Amino acid sequence: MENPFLKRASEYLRDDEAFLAVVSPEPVTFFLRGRGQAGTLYDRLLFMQGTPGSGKTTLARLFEYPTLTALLRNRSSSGYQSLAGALVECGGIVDDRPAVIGCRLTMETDYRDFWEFPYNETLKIGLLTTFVQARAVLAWFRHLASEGVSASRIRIVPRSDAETAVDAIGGPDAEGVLARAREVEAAAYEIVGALIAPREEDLSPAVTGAYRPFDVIDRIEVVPQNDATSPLSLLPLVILDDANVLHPSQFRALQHWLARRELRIARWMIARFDILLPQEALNAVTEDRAEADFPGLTAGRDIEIVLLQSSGPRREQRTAFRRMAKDMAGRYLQKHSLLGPRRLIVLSDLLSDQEESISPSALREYGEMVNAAQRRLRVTDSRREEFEKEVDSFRSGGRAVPPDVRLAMLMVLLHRYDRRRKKVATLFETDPEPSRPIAANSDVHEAAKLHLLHRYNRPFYFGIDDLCDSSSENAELFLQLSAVLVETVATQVIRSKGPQLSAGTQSRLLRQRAEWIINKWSFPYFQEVRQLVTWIGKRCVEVTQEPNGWLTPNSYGISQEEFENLAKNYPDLARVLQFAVAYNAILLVPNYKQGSKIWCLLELGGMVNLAHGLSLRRGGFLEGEAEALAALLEERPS
Amino acid sequence: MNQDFILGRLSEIMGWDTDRSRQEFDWLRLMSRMKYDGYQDFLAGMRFIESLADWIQQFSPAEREAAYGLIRGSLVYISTSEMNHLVELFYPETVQWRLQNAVAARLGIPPYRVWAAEEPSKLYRKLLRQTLFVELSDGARIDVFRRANAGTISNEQVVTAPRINREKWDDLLDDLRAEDKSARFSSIFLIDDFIASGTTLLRKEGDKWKGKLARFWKEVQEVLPTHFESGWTLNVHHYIGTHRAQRVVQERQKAALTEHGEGSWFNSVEFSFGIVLPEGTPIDAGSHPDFVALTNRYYDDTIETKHMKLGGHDARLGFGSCALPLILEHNTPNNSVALLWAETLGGEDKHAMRPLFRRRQRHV
Repeated sequence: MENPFLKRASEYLRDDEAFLAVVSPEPVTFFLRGRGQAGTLYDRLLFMQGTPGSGKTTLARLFEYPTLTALLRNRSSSGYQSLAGALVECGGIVDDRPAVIGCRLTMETDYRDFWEFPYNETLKIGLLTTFVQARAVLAWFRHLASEGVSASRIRIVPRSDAETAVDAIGGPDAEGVLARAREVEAAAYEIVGALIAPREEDLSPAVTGAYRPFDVIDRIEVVPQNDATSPLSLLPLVILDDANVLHPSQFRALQHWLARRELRIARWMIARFDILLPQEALNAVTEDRAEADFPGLTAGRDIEIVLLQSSGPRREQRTAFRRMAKDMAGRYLQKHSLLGPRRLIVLSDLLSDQEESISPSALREYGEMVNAAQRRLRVTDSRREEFEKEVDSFRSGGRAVPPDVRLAMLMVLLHRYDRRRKKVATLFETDPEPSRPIAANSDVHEAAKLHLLHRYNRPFYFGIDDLCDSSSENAELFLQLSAVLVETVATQVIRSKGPQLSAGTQSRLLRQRAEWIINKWSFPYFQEVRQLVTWIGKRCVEVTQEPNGWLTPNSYGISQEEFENLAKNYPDLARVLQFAVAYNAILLVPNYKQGSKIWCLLELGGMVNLAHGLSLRRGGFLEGEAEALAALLEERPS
Repeated sequence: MNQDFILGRLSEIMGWDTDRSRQEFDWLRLMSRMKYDGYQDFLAGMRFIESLADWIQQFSPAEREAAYGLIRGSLVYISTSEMNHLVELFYPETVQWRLQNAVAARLGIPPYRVWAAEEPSKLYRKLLRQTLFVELSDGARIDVFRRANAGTISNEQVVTAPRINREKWDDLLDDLRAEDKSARFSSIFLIDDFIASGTTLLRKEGDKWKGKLARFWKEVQEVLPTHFESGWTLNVHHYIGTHRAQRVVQERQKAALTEHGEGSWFNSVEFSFGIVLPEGTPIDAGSHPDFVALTNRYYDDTIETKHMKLGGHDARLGFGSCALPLILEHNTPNNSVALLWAETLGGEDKHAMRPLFRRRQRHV
């Protein structure tokens, strides 16, 4: 029995149909539709940034020509219709025909090697851009050939002002362009594959001469085999994937080169945050715009930035992610060899959302603790009755709360009352009124459930929404968490038990899995990141456990001003924070207004919340200072 | 059989809860796919998990965890690809190194200089051609050895029968002399797959030395003066050996030489191993008390043939009481714990033993 949830990376799905079967249209719609309709997807450099597993390569691969054609071939199938619709909205498909011819070049291969050569920087960048262009041209031709289009049926349409430069790329006919691209690629490959760098004067003119197909090509036309159809006009799109593996200087030069406005072809760069300087990376997720280093280049007007992780409209993102995750889970479950054929393909149906109460003996014990607290705090019976009525009238999801939560809420209210009443009762006043009304609301409910989690290990994380919310809006994390749940569902089916997982099982498995994931971290600065989030997590737990439940935090707030100067004042902390953000350990929530201050919240990622037993609700934070975090990092990570 | 169905049955037999089942199913699926399903003597329609479910049922519910624990934690399974890897390593790690040292000794140069000049390289090629490779059993994987060293070792240097008659010896020499009219053999490698107790290779029965090495000594006498250089060397290579065998064969060789005297026995035998199983591999009452108790409780002595008795003890812990938790993909060695491989009918208050990895008996 294969568990498809364990195979997340889209690169592992070689076959286009297999790839399309597991892709959800939601991220396409959420991240790209607006930009596609505004035209900014194709007329300027699109810079897609995200954490590993945020779906960068999946989005890129969708726009590759073979994927688009495979999608169109299967568009009558119900599983593909929504995806095809999303691509129509993004302008990738027009009139049931592909509108772009995308090729994805992964920078993981030999592109970085140019940087190691003993040439001057201009030459090294020139060699890189030449190599990229030759490979892109070859990829476009290869994609068309895979669809049965020979070079003789391809017409390269040059920019109107670049007709004289056509000769330099082997034009005007397509066979010439293809031959020239092969010649340039072979010459460039000889350099990059050489054991010892050739002398500069020995470099082939094929790579040092003028070869700028990106400057020349406007469209690629496919001549139909018969007169019944019109020519297919395609916008060339080059996608440079994993650009973070390039040398930072290469990366910036390539970015500058691709951001030029006169280019007609569409060009996308995809990278993790690792490549950026700490302040840039932090700005990227807080401002959603990166400042460019090169004069005359304005991020925003020249570069369209797509940030594939939580930022901006957070409520909207969480809702969109839930939609996407549920859709994706359904697609993966269909492919599960045991659950698919049994039509157990709706993940939310497999995850019970029925609360599980603590044991009767624990309930008795807790009841006595509440009585003791009432006596200790000198709360009158009538006041307690009032609170009990308040709790009884509270509804969670339209339902009354179970007895254990009722007791825990009462406990919270007793302590809140104690805080809010006059401290010294007068001789005639044994039951003073609180300074503010005591209400049983959703905050009290959340605090009560967390108290029960920490005291009695009462299941807290269960149901599909908790699963989605604990994934930090990251598809890979969602699948990693889901994998263990799905595996357990399958095990129950094999053991002839019902497929649905109880709340207790879900909560326990999710927390174990989160701890396992954190223990397996191996990204740059992971020890410091672990030290940082553990410290914040423990402090949040301490506050969460306070009996009046005044706060259920999962974030650490520093002032926005302090955050903006972080890279200057605390460069080591900024670097650690960059990688914490880049690998989903922390999410940044900038410009968060609380009282008269503006904060930047360092919100713990879902795995940390699960591992420490913290609320998944947003907004609760501990007020702090960057200095405390910087001092913490000076200690040796354990 | 549907694997999921049998996993469900196994879960019941073992009394696992869902968590334990999930973890064990993961492991069982992985290991059966990667290794155990490749065992060559499973019955038709049965693979590892089916065989495991059947095997584990012979024990009482309270004993099953001990039986499963041995499989989960201590079983050593050598797959075909792993064995082939050991075969492929034999030449570069053993033969080449030995000959390189021989060349260095003859020319009085350090071994690392052998490839630096033409003369030692030439001598290396000559010595290599003067080397014979003789299989001691069909486990020697001589076909794999040939393929792995095609172009390096000639087919005329490889002998696929442990007993070589005079005519074959002459053919081998003729082939050698096709290139050099006066050449003789300078070394022999006797090759086998596995050695556990050392009994089959060399043992003393009464006052006589027996075993494959003793037999080879007799057979080679006739051709020693004519076919071999003086000072020729004998090498015995096993792809897998136990820690005990590594020690025992050296001791027995020394004893045999002392008893026979120089000229009446091999002056020196170089023993080598592709891999030596660590000293702690055999199970005992200290490391596996519950499983050793099972080997006593579920033992049927009808498996003790006259060949098994050569091992000197009963066979509950395998031939020679080697107590190995070892399975080779093509067959389970009789030195492995009997509960893993033995199959008996039982009766007369004896337990009918059911094998997990059925063993093909060579000696009936």
